Amino acid sequence: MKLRTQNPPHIRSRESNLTMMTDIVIATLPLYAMAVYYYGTRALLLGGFGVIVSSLADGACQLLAGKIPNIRDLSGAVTGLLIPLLLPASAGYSMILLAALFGIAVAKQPFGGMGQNIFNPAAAGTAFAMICWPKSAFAYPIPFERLPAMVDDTVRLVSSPAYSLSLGGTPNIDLLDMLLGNVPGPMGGTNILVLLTCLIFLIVRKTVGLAMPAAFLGGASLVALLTPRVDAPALTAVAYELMSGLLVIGAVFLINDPVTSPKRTLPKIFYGFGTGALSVAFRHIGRYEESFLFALLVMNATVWIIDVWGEHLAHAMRRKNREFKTNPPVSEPAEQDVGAAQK
Amino acid sequence: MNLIVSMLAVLVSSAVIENLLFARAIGADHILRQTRSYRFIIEFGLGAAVISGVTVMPLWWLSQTFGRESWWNYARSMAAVLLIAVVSLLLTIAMAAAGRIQRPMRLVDQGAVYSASLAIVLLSLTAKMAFLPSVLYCFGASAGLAAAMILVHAGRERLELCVLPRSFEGLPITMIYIGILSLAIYGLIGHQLPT
Amino acid sequence: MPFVIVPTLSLRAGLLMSAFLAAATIPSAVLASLVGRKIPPLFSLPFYGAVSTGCVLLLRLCVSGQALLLEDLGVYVPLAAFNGMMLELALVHPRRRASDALHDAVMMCFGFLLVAAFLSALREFLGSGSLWGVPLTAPIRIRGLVLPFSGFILIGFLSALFRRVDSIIIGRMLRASRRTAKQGGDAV
Repeated sequence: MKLRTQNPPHIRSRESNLTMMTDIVIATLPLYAMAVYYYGTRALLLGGFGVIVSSLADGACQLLAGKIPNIRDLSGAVTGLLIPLLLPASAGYSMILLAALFGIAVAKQPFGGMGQNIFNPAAAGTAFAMICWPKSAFAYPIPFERLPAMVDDTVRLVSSPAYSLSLGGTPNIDLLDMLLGNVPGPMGGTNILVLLTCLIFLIVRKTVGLAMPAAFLGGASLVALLTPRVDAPALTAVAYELMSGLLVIGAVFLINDPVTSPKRTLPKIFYGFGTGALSVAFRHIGRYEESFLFALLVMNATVWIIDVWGEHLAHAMRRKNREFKTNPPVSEPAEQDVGAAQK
Repeated sequence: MNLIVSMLAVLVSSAVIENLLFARAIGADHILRQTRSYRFIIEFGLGAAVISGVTVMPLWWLSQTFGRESWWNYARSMAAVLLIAVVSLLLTIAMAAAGRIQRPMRLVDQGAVYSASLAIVLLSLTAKMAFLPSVLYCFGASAGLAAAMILVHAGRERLELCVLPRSFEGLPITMIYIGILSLAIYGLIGHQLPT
Repeated sequence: MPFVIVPTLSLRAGLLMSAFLAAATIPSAVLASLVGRKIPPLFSLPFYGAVSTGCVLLLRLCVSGQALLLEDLGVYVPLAAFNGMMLELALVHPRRRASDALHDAVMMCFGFLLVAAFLSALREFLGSGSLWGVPLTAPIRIRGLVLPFSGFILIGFLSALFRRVDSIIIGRMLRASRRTAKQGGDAV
């Protein structure tokens, strides 16, 4: 008798892996559009190259594991789209290649593939690229200077506002420019307004929730408020911290990965807050100007512990709630009633 | 106040920046075979802390006395091994007398504690710090090693839920897991340590 | 494990580390087979530790001219006295005969040498752009290979590769033996 597996008929949900990944792909399109506007078609080439490499690597690893590659699974493509957005537009193709290979073949497939990875593949791959090529990973082209398909030494590269902050200086950039993305920085990380729009889109589509990004930005803001790195009013210092580097793009795309984040709401808040706080805290003492990806990987490793304690807490609260409902506390009669009863 | 800050800096740097597991891979083979529970890891960490902390005291004094001699580099290692043996023997006797030992520790576990304590003591002496920072270094390094092993043990519990490719079960995936964590911690702290 | 992950940044360092491990393992394994039963368990670890440390320090004296290499290996030289192979052959499963102990120790150390040589050559070539100190042009330079995390990851993949090859070889041997048994059964 041949047995076929299919979804139980009583479970109906429009949401599936494919819809979630499609939403994220759609959310990255405005970022690529802005990157093309600022840097030229090289941005598209990098994105396309990343998608091809990631998808091929994903398929090859699945074949090696004896599985049939799933064409409808866009998780490899999402990784390939995110990696160039986290790096400069002047990043070399070899950097994208190795980052994608590392993310898929080291951080994802050995752990069982889609749905079972402990670490975010895009974060792991980009972190690897940053460590291997720190000079290239933290040198950015100037917006509106068109980049050739193959970047050479003639391209002018500058440092980002995050570098100025790491030296203790105030970036010589208007906050409005930082909001609009008219600053040197990671290809997809500078367009704050567009990123916030993408976040709203994903929340409306219910692909991501509000708890984790809000907690993440809250934790980052709190640490930035308590330990400002610039000599400026408190809110300005916080704004500089949040809008420089990869914090906002991380809040939109990376922190919300459903596979590598906790399952319940309170653990999600704790996880988001911890990642944000760690990212900004280590900007003070870390080697690199950007610590978000490394903080995210460390917090990915603690998700299991956070989930277990979250379950214990949820069970304890449910038990307390049940006890309260079955044995509600008896209220003491008022003095007037007692007096009336005695009469 | 400055003293407290500098002592805290020594503790934090020994536990986090110079973490034995993630930066130097010390304890990597032990965590694959021996860690059975969180309690065991904590006992391992405490044992390493006490043994290395007590051992470093006379060794520090000997380093101050003979540190400039050409033969001290050789004698230091042998002296450390012998002192660790004596201290761990005394610790075992003391715990047995207090009734805290239910069964003798396995030789492999003892070897792991020896190895970790020796590494901590030698690193503390190589750093050429004052007396109190050297002792604090030992406690911090042991605490950092135990914390790292707890993190990896939690990861292994999580990995048991994954359907891993058969070739990656056990040692390979644990090494990859530790490698990615080590990458993350290097990226956060990021400096190349002398071996 | 730490001896193949961190110090194997160059081929020379990897080979020297293998030599130290062999110096720590082989004498202790042979000694354990000869006098192991006479040593009380409480003193066995300090005894073998001291013997291994002595052998390692003797070798260190012999190669004291390689000051730069020894500095690269750092704390892993004295730590080699407590490596897993020594613990296994001297404490956990000491062999009954000296010839068996010598054979097992030499084979284990040879296996370590192969892995250390491969890893250190790869990391030196692709990470530092040289081999045995001779500068070479590598197709790509990956700076991260000289950091500890890459040692962990490379060991993980190497181990997975060996398991895969092992399973393929064992699978073929099993199929061949089943075929032979079936042919033998048909003949009968």
